[in-house]
Amino acid sequence: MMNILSTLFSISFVFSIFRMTTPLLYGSISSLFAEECGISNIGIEGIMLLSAIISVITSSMFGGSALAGLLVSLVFGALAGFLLGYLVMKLKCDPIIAGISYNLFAAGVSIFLLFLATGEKGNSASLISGTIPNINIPLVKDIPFVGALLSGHNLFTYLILLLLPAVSYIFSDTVWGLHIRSAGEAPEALESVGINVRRVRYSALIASGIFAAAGGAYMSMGYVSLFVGDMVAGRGFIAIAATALGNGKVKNIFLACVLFGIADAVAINPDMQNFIGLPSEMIGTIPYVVTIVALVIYSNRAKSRRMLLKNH
Amino acid sequence: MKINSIKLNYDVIRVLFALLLSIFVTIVIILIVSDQRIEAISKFLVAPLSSKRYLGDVLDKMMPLMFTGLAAALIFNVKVFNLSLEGAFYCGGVMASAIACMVTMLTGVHAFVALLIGGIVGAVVVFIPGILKLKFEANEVVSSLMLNYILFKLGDWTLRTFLRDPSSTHVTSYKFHNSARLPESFGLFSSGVYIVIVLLIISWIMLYKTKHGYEIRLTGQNPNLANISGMKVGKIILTTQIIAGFVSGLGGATYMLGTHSRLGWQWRSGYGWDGLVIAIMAKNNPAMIPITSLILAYLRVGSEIMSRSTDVQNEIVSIVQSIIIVLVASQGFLETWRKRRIVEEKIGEKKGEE
Repeated sequence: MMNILSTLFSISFVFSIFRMTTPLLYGSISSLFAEECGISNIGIEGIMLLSAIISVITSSMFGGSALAGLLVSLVFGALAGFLLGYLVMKLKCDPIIAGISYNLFAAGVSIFLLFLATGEKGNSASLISGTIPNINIPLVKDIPFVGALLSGHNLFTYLILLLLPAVSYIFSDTVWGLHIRSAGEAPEALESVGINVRRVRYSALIASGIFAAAGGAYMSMGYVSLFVGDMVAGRGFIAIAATALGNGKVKNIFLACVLFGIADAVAINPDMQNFIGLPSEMIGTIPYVVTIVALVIYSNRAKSRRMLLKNH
Repeated sequence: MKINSIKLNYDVIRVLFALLLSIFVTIVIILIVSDQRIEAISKFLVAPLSSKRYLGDVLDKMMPLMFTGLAAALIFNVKVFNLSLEGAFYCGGVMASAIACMVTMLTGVHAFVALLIGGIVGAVVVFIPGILKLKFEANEVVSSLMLNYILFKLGDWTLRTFLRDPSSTHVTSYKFHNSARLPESFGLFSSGVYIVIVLLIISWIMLYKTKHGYEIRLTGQNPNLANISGMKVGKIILTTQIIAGFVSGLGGATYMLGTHSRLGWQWRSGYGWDGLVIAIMAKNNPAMIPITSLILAYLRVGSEIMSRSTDVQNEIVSIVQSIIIVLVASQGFLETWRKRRIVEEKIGEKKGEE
């Protein structure tokens, strides 16, 4: 028992929670932009997966520069977001079917690209690709315990933690954010005051694509330093669940992501696995089970709240 | 009359156009990436016709595709996005394998029991996201996708713990008993094809010729109207999903017992996903599913032959698939063409009257 407590509060366990939560946060903010503008993005998983392979390949093409890989994958993400808008608004494709097709496309094409670049279908270990660096914060890193806890995380972890309040601010206090939310809730009202709803939605979906792509680049250049087939492993969908749980509020989305991040961290921690004592496959299902349970509890509460309002 | 036939033609033309466009894109990609361009393209497009064995492969591939295509068509008819068909197909296959290798029964009875249990397991799988949606309004897209991941892991565990053949160097199940295996028809394809053809006919009759089918279709097209008309919309949606799950699970079981002799480690078919593509291409009509399954199976076999003998990999088919489903599902695609045809027809009618 003491053993497991010391694992729970150990620095390496906290680090793995940060590592696991980071891609979920990128995915959730991606989903938030899409949901708020009124067009669900189910293709986040696929955008993340393709971005993960694209960043590794371009990074190795530019002599292992992480920056090059990152920039190209972000451009790809923006295009993917724009294309989703085009498919849904111009071609009138159902957004969920468009998202499904993104995921089908990514599952095959990521392996196709991997094979083109490396000649094998397993992983990209033979490519020399860059990594997004870990950052030691000056001064903070010298504080005992707290320093070890807060310093030394990946640049992208800090970046998303800084972006969260910014995103929250965008949606509560900027014209762009309010336009996005109106495009989702009352597009006619927005149109009636002379705002181009399509343009607002395109901008939101491009932002959605960029965040998803950043999450994907983190997977193959930060979380680990290579691409492995199906490495996103449902994180794009878990992120969508986190956004649903957060109900449009960045703070709640953050908490939901941390919950799922902890579930992930528990599932991969050997001490926790020993403690729980179930077969490894069972433990591997924990993040997905937690997601379903959380989704059911949340949806049920939201439902009864609506019922209550109706009855009054 | 004419206008209706334009609408019908329009649907067919859209699917064909989407198909041609996606094949065109694939050819362009092959031209860019391959060093064996001509060979790759010809293998991809015509190799399945070149031998009897390849044609048998196409028919073999068609069978599971028709199962999952039918299951997806049923689910799409009630407009829910329960994406657990892949998990249902997988679990149906795993459970049928377990019964085929761990239990002994009479020939005939054994296969029947294994198939039935495979179907029931599939129904239970698809039921879960369905009931969570109905009772708690939990988003079925997310819950069904999470469920797939859970089922794959549980299936791996089942194989490793209960079914593993210790005499094999690989992690693989015991050999299926012969009494559980489905015979081959004409030495070409699995006799499971007959099962799915019967299912397709029953489903078509149910959907288009019975009251229950009318309720299903109306529920999908206009749930409010269905509700006002006194139909139990929730129940209709849920039962349709359960039937779809049974079809998909039965498909997994039939596939396993028809074309395999053991359950392999980390077996993932992807047929559940292909089913979505097939149903969308078929406009959710069971009568069209054999045709759309044939198209996809042909492309699949062609790409596999290509990837065996040239430097282009079979994953390229996912490009074809995603382009097809997006374009077929897009109402705006080729819409101007349709409107123009209808207007021309109307003008023609007017002139004829004068």
